[in-house]
Amino acid sequence: MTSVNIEDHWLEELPAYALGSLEAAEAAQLEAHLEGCQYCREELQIYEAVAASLAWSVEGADPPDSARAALLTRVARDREPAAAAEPRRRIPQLRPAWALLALAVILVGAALGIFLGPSAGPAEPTLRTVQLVGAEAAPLAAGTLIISMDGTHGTLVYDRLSPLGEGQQYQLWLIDPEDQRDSGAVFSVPEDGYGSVYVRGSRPLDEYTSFGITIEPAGGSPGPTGERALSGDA
Amino acid sequence: MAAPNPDDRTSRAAAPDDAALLARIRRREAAAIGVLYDRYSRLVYSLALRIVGDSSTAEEITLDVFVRIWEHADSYRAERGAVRTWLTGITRNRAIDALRRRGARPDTRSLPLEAAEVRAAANSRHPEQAVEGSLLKERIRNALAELPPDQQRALFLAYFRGLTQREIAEALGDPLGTVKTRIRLGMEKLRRLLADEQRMPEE
Repeated sequence: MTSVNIEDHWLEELPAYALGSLEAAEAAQLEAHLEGCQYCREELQIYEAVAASLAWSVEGADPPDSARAALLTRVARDREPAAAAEPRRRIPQLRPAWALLALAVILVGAALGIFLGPSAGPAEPTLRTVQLVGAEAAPLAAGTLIISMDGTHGTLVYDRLSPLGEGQQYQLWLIDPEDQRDSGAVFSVPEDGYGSVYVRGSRPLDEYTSFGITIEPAGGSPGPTGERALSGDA
Repeated sequence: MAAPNPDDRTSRAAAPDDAALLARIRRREAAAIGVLYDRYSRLVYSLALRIVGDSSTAEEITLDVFVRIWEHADSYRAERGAVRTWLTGITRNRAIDALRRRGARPDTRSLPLEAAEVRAAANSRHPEQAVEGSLLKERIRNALAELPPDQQRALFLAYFRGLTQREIAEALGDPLGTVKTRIRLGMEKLRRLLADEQRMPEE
């Protein structure tokens, strides 16, 4: 066992440092010492584990499912930076509530004989949906734009959008292949962050390829100026 | 002197998996971050919630922590400690930052004096979290319960409120030297107690 000259070490300060409770100046001095002291680094590692154990004393609570969905959406976006070649009518990734809604729509559609025609034939008219995922101003928000069968208009359903102050509203932008933006709706959000809004542009909605929601001055702007809250591609 | 690491025993089963998961995350395997999330999201969220006190900020922090791990898995150094310790450290820092941004002042009276508020984690939706979590929680709860209340309170104020020793002294009206001693003795005792537990035969 190596003998240790206690005076050369910072053993008294290490526990407080591991807890993050040293004053900044003391912490800086200790860090300078740690760079050259293997023994104190090893001791610190132990105290860091002791400090971390306090986290386990907390009463456990599960995060809402939306956090996991948001993480996986984010991860998927990172992994597929160029998803442009995806088929236009792929089945979107749905949150559980939306999956149920979509299932109900499909079942009703099937009962009416709308959806499940011969797959090789020309596309039957359907209600198309576009998923919008939270952007920088609202990372936990999600939305679904449901587009009418004739493609001319639609309804946006959103969840977890924060209500804004009096001077601001959300504005939905309809983006065409030339990157021109039309306003599709200007709306405010109720306290619980969940709601819907009717959507219509200067052209049929199925002529737009992307959709985005930004925070704008109340009444809306001619073009987007504020932070993005949601976005998605058709 | 032996250097017992409280992470050693409990992470024996999980550690290779955690390290392997991080390696897969570094290779950009999306499924691996999902597994890590299922394993530790409860710990991360509970800790964040305990520190910031509101569920929507805790949820944001949880998302932020795992996105950061996805983006910076290569900053983890196995020789510096267990994945769990690393994860807990990131979470705690983010949560304390959020607390400070909010400008919250410590309300020391609302702090529980006892650690016995911990209950078994058996109701977790993720069985793996529930089993491992409840074993570890029990050990830590037992160890904390053996600390004198004023030591325990000093540790909690530092860890969950992000207060420096000087701030704790001011908040409690105690001399700085007394607070320093409580923190040091509390941490040393917790270290010994957790190390003692480590020597007990594993079930």
